[in-house]
Amino acid sequence: MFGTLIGSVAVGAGGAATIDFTSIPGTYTDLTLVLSARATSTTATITLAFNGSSASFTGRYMQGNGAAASSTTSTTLIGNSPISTDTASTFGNLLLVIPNYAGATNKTFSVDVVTENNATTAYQQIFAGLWSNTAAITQVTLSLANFAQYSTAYLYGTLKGSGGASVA
Amino acid sequence: MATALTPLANITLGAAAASVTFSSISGAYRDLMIVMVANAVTYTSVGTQMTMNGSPAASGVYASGNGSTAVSGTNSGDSNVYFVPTMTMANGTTEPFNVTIHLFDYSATDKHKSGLLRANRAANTIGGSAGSGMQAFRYATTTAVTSLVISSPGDTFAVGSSFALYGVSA
Repeated sequence: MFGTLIGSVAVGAGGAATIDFTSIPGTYTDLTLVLSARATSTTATITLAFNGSSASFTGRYMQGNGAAASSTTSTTLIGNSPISTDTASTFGNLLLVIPNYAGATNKTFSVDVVTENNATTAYQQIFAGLWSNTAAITQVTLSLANFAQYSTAYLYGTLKGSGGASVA
Repeated sequence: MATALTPLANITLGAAAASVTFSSISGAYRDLMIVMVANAVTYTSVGTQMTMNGSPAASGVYASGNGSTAVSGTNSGDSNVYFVPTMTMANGTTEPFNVTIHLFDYSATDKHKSGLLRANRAANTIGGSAGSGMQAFRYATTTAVTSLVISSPGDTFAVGSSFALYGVSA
């Protein structure tokens, strides 16, 4: 989706365990987060928290690894990242879209992920997520062990229009 | 890196509705994007769909995972693009069905209309079919898109369901 840039994070030397967007204004309709990431360890899993909480998450995802497609459930896991033993200088990408993030209903979100690796195994993943909490989202936190230097994240807000549609 | 997204129309239902129509769509943009977050009053197994003006033939290829099995398939034979036929809205408001659609070159008159969509429903405790899915689709017409109708035969969209239309500039 993209839209108006709200904030950005660039991970410096030494890496970081989290990428955190706080004080997100409620003036937009949807949020889009674009992540470029690599792990400093051999742990590939990227997890998500809203408003500092990892509770009340439900998810289902599908992935292909270059040999087979599979599907499973998740909670806060939203994707994989290239790890320290993968092809050097290679980062994966993640696109997180949260429609109606400031509304008073449970929050649905989607995640699209690709990992890059010059080898036989790399991943493409699509996630469906649900945060069963009616609070407006004011904080988005991504965690990885750890985000390597040069990992980046950009948060955008999209504002909907009004009218122009008819119902029957 | 931000794209030029222009909000064109939006509706959040104040009453249940069988369908939503975006009409008189301006041809001033390159692509259209639609974001739907919806629930059903009572779901059926038919699923949610979209037609364009003139009701040309539509076809699609999809892949989806329901949390245990990954599947892929096609759909064709009528004028509807189905929002990943293996997935449906929920029978209530706590497990919204989220669909994002990108319709490319919608105002061109020298090509068929193609698009990509992502469908998401993470939980499955109140009926219907959950999963994460993706679909490529095509309307077999060179006519420009000027209206889109989103419906779910046998269902009505519940109060609070939202539908937003955006234009994407080149």
